[in-house]
Amino acid sequence: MKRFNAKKISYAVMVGLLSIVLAACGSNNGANQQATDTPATTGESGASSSAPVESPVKETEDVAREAFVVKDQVGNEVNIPGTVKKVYAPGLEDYLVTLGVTPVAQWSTGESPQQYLQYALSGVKEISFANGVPSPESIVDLEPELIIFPTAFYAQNGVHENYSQIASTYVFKNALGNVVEATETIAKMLGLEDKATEAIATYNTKLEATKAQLASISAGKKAIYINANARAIFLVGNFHYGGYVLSELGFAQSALVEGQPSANISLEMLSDIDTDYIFINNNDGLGDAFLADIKASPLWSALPAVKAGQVFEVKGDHWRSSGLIAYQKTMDDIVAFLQP
Amino acid sequence: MQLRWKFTVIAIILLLGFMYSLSTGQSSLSLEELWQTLMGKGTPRQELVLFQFRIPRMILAFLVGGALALAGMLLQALSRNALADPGILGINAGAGLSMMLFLLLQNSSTGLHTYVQPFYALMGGFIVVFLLFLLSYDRIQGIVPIRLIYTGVAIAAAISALMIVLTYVLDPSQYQMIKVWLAGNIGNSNWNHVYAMLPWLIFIVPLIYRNHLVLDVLKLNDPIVISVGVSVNKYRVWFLVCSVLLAAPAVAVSGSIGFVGLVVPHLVRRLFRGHKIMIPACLLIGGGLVVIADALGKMVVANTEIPAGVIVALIGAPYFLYLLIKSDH
Repeated sequence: MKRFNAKKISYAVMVGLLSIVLAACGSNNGANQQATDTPATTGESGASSSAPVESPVKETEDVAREAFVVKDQVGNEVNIPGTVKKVYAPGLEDYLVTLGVTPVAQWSTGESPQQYLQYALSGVKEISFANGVPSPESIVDLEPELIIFPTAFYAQNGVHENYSQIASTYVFKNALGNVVEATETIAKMLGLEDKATEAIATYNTKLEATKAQLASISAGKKAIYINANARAIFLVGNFHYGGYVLSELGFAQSALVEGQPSANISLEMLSDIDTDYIFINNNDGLGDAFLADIKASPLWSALPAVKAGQVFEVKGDHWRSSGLIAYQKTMDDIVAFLQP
Repeated sequence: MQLRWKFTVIAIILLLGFMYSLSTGQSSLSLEELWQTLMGKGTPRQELVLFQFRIPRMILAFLVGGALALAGMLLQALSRNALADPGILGINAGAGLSMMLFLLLQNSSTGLHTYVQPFYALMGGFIVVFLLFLLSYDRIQGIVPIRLIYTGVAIAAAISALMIVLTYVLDPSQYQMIKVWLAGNIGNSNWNHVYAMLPWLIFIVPLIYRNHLVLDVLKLNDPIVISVGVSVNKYRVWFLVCSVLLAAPAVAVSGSIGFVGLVVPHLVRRLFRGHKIMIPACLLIGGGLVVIADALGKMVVANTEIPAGVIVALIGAPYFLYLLIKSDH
């Protein structure tokens, strides 16, 4: 072996350490990026899936329900046990809490779970999705009886094969695009139809009341919900999240996001934001730097909403989540902003 | 050290790596339970974890590592350049791009498609190889090794740019899934992935092994190689094709695990002479490296796993730099 002096060794060590630090930064970015959207959406958000749960053949509403088979939204036959006590449905926690169910584990960005649900879920094991769908070993010890995936993207490339060996696994094409229908589907699987009917009725009542309350403000006006993260700002369309709620409350959409779940815009396109109201989410500080850039731009100050003082900085991850609870909280926020 | 001892050491490290891989994971399985399960006395849960999750994952890691290391060895031999590997020549990127399109187009979550995946990746890989061949071919000299590298680097860069363009049309969660897959994550692999990968190795490795002497001669100057009766161009194309047939299926089942194809052949060349020995050594060391990297990734952070590709890069990059510094003297 050739001799190797200390200088060379220290050089090699430094380069090695640097590569570790760089790699660590890289993986953090991954987690952050995931954190911007809770928890998942797909391109087909708008396409409401017309093949929900098939009615169980002999479903008895009373004491003991029999096991039954349903076809999930990607075409798999799923055996639903008679009683389901332990559920794992990453990204669908809002729906479960709505139905009064505590899952065996909850979705997390790697840093934190969905904050707005922690009043009901604190202490429930967190499973990070920062590196994609975790290996099946992460939940096997929790012995779930039913696993539900909110989007088909979660279930591909071996995931479905593995998870369905642990328990029956139901896959939505995209649950987040149609919250009411997904709540009903989940309730049917868990035998909680009454709870779902009740929750949906409460939601609808609140929606109608809020819509009426804001009728004079929303009439003929446009509103946009903007989600900012470290690298970009997204105008959120009316398929889900805050954009959906604004649309449900009677606000018209900006042409910039029409027909799309979201649109990534550049500084130059700022002047095209023609809405009367702007709601901005800074992703718990992640988007601050980028937002500061935007606000410093003269294009921003020239926007009609900015001139009229109708820009609202919203807080909380319920703005970037789907579910009856998230949507109702978002409604509360909108009312508080517009009718203080 | 004698050959026999070297292989004994490799075998012991490999065995320890296998044991480590089988005994780590997020599900609790003590060494005693592990042994009992192996003996057929485990609970259904323990059997599920060991036989359906851990063993196929470990075998897949081994196969992928071996295939990538061999592909790297072939490319380094045929290009006469120690920097060649499927990643640098753009083969992984090509396979990755076509896999990305495949993942986008397919919506089903059933297992049927696992076997088809390698073919999609091969399409991308072969398109890249065709371009490599076209752009580095000289009418008089045939394939010019150094041009092969330049072309490869350019193609890899172009494909990476294409991938970034593609990410703009993706939804954030689609993008996230693809990004995770590209990081080389085998956490959700199963027997289907093993069955999709294994045939390629079984077919290709003997074909390469039969030509190990040609690989030895290729490192000499072309006129010398031709003078000993080897059709340089024919074999360059042949080995190029073989390397795609190894690398593309590996990319299809594991995403992109870089550095194995670069580092392992280097290490193997330091330990052994002659491709007759280097071929099995690449398989064993490449496979072992990914098995150990994947097992380390399982334990690094409590509630998430680090993709094997990231760990390989963390181990591989400093070692490669060490080799570079050392070879300067």
